[in-house]
Amino acid sequence: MALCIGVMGAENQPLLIKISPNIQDPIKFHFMLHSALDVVEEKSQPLPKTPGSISGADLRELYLGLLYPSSDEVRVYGYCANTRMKMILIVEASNTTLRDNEIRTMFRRLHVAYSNMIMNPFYDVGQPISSKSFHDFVDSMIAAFGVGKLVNPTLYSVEMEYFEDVPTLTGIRLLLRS
Amino acid sequence: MADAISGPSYLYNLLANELSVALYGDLDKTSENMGALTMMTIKDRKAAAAAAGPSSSEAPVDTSASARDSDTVFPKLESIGYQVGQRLIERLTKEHARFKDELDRMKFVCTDLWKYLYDKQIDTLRTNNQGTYVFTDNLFRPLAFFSAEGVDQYYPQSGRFIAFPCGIIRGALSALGIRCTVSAKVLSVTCCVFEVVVERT
Amino acid sequence: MSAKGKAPLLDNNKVNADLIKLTYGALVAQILKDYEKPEDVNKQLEKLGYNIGVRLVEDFIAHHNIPRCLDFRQTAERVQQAFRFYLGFQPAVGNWAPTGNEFSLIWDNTNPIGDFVEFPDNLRTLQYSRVLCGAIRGGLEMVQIDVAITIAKEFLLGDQATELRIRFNKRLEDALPIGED
Repeated sequence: MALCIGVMGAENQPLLIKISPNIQDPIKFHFMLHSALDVVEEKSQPLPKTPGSISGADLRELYLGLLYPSSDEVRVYGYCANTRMKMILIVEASNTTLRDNEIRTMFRRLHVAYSNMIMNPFYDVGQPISSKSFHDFVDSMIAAFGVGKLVNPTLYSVEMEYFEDVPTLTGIRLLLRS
Repeated sequence: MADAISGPSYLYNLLANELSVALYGDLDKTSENMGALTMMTIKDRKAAAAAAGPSSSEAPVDTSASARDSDTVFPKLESIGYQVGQRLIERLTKEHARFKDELDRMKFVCTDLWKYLYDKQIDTLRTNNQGTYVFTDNLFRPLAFFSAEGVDQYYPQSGRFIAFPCGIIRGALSALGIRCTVSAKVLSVTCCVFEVVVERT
Repeated sequence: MSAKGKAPLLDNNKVNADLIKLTYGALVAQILKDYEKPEDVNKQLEKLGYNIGVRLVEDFIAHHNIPRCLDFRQTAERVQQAFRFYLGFQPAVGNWAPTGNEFSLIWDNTNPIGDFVEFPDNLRTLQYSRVLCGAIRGGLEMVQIDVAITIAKEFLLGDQATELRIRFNKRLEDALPIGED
């Protein structure tokens, strides 16, 4: 089941974050999204050609795949458009039926919905998204992946340290342990 | 030239050119308007001629309005273009592979984006490899549109038609992560040159 | 469609229709910044439409060898045709008044120039489709038909369709064709 979908703008500002309504502690997902952005930045930079580096074909794709080795509880996928709009998808690790192709399709549909949404002249690009139709669409994506299951928060605990005022990208270290 | 442009392209050209007219506060006074581009009825033309005096029988080229243009209307036109460029790029690059570098992005603007907007590519792209790029379009459609209509005497006012495309370029590049300033010059009745200066941080 | 390499560009007509919508949308947003009051913006949109319609009709006639309309029904058909030609899809013509002097142009479940527009709550008096009214009025005035047009239904405000109501006022006899002095 999709636990969380995050859409970030070009400056890494959050545009829309939707978390499955069954989650007990949504704050953890906010931090997961932010730390995932670090990885997205890294993966979307063109790498210098070194022996053993990722092949050119992978670099050119907008879909970034699994962002970091999956923990036992969640898998985090990323996508970065050419306009540096980023999307993060967090799914339950126990959902083994979700294939890579399906994830790709989800991102593509999200991207289409996003590009339709920005055609609205009353929406300022880069601002938090308030479009009802886009919200509904993302809700439907979260709901589409099966009946809501209660996620047991004791399955994982999250340790993080962050600066007092503003959690910056570098100021968060996220550890997942079961 | 104008014969080749029809259907939605024609409407788009009309709309793009009406932008500047629409941005003037007072669309009522058609005779005082930048007369070239609004359709003046016979009555209006006669009224304008009568008001101007018997010696002038053609619509005068209003140079004071040109000064007003650059202060008020050009920035607004540019800003409209910016909005259009920004949103357009998302649609156009949706399926496009990730861009390699700045030049890759410039080339996209010159080829795909220009083709989308004007059904042709930029004819020449030059760069000094230090952040300045020059796009040359030898047959810039909005200008060609007007010269074919026989209003080349209004070419001094052509600045209005290039503020909007400048904005589109700036909006498109900004959406691709390149902050820049874009200016344009009309070299001849149909040739237009855009200069893009990328902000170096 | 592969994500690698260049995507095929859309058909040129569809492409320009999208561009028209985007440009118009950005223009509305800018006029709104300048005028702030939706009622004033509506007036500007009407005039903008008028200016465009007046020029558009010449292009339409030039490309479509059509004879003079004999009655209002034929006029309705021409307007319908023009929408297909310039915006890529045509409205239905219906709701004729018994006198034959009034009809509606109906776009079901959409707005022809504002597909993706979502109105913020404070702008519900903004008539986004007003430019269409102005354009039709301007175009018909150039062929000596005076009409009054109102927006009967607006999809962007929650109605099921966008409907423009066009009422025939009178024939204009005294205006000379443009170009003849």
